[in-house]
Amino acid sequence: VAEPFEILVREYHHMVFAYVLALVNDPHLAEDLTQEVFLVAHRRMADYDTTRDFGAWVRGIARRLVMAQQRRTKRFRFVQLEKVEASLTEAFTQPDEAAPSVWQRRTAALRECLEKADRQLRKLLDLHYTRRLGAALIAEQFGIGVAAVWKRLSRARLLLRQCIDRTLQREGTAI
Amino acid sequence: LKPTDVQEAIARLLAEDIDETAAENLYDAAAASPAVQERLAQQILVDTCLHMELGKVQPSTEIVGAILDRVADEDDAEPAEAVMPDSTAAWVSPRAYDDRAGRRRAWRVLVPLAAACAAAVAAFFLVRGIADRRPSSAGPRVLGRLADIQGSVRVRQNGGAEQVVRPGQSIRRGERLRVGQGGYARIELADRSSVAVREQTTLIVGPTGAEQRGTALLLEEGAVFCVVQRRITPSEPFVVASAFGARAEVIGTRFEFLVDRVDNRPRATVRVERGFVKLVAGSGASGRVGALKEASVSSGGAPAPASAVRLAAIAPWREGRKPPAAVSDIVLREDFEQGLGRWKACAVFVLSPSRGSRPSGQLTIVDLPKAPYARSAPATGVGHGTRCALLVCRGIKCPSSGKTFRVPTGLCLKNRITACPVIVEWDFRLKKACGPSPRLKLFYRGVLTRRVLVSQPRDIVPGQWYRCRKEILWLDREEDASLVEEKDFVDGKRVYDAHARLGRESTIVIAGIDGEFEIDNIVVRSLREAGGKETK
Repeated sequence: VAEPFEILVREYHHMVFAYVLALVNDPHLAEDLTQEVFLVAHRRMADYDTTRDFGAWVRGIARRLVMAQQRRTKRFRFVQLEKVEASLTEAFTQPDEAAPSVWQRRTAALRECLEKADRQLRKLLDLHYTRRLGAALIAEQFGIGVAAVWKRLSRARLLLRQCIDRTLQREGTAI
Repeated sequence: LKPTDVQEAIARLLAEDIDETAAENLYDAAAASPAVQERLAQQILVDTCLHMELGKVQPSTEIVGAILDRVADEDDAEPAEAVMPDSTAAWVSPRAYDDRAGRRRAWRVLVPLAAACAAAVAAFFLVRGIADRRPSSAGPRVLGRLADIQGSVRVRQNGGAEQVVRPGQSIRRGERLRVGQGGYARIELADRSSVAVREQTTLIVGPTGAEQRGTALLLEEGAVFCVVQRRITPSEPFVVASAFGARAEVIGTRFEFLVDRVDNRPRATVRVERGFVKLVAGSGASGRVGALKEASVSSGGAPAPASAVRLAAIAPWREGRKPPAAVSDIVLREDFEQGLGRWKACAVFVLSPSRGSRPSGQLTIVDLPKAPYARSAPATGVGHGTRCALLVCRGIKCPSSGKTFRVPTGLCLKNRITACPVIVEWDFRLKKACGPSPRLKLFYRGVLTRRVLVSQPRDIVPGQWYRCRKEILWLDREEDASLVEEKDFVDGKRVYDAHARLGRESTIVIAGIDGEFEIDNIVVRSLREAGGKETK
């Protein structure tokens, strides 16, 4: 393997995985597709315009592979909606050469926000994401209805997103 | 759908707890409403982030290796038009090649007559090449030139008598180069790759027999250090082989290949500085050796698993004989002296040749004759101080005991770095830890405006060497401060990205740790020299 490509794989595989995971919502599938993305990138390296951002190019490959994969399944086809797709792409677009770290910046901001989150919200997220409990079991723990669990989860994500945006915005102005 | 229903539907969608009808309803609602789509996208992003962070959903640690293996397998696949042997396996290990050819023929039932003829011609050349290991008489091609020689270096051309070589002399395919005791040679190949040849080494450059593309060396004894400067392809490999069949097939770029004897059996060792090298035994068994790893194979055996090797242990002879590194030769020596004197350094090794250290460059020098490593600000620049300096810092407070370690605990760049975008690389080993889980700190002692943790900080294991790298890029300057960007790496893995605003007297800490440590093999290069960009 030529060294530059190896470096690119090491630099970008995490971002590509995150992007694909956002598109397919399945870690195993995301990992398989990430491998395919880089294989295709390697085969088509001659087509890559080096003046362009490699991350954008490889995400384009990822997007096409995911769309091809999703033709076979109806699940999660929402990501093909124009605005959804544009927003997801924008979230992974890199403003400068520190591009691979943009997703990491979001993750770092998320960590910061989680530290500041109140106990109830943190508990809800832990039960859902870390312990992977279903809505019914979570509802039992909180003594609320199942529909309320879904609403709270949605609300929690909304609060976190706002917190992440504020954190990133603060960093941006500091720079 | 009402907004609250949409909210619930999105939450259930992300949890995959939604039936097809509800999904269709949501899809219709989203398709009709950009606002719903926007909310959906943002929720997907946060959900993904939470899955990765809280649910520990991450790409597996093997994924990079898996990708590179699959890419390598594709690269290794022989091109359809290949007829002639494309590896020195044919030259050094004819049985292995014949077996491969046989397998290919078994797969191809109808072999075109032309290919058969070509194979026969190849076999003819092959047998002749193995028989006498001499180049064909049809005008051996120039493969490179001897860029540097020291001591006794001789070459035998076309089976003739050995001749003393001179610097700049061309090296032709099939020539046998012998470097005597105390000698050294460096060959620059036509593709800009270079091969440093250690003393007491005998080497045949280029395959004998059939014309081949790519680069091949036969190492009869001794050691070579190769720096490969071109893309490796199946049709143009770069292979170093031993006389007993073991060989190193280059995938990456910088490695040492060494042939010696253990218990009277020949042994080949490969030590990789950068990239990957495939170590192949005469039997065909192979193993991949990554950066800062070494592996050996003995005659008749299989490659041993790769183990870690220190950078300084990889071909420390590669630059030939150099005068002993006196303090006066050290890049930035005044500041080292000042720093060492000021902070009463303990075991800090700087460019010690006995440890294999070597300077590979120095900062650009302009003006200031009394400070040869210093560099002035551009005449038009606002200009703060302009000197770059390395020094050893004072200890820092031990959190467990509350006492301050009065030992050197940092390798720093003095500020006034504004004109010096640099790359600093060094080996690092913790000798005595302060606290249960020492973590290498790579940071500025300036005003951090942003620090992005790219990967988790790693605990540093006492006694183990790490290769650290810091890239510092000058972004902008204000009247009384500079804005710099840095990228930090430990063993090739990026740890931090940071932006910092530095006042005139700030110190940039290259590395610090709660404990006593040792540094070695420091290399400082300006980004311009290293091929990087200087923004201003």
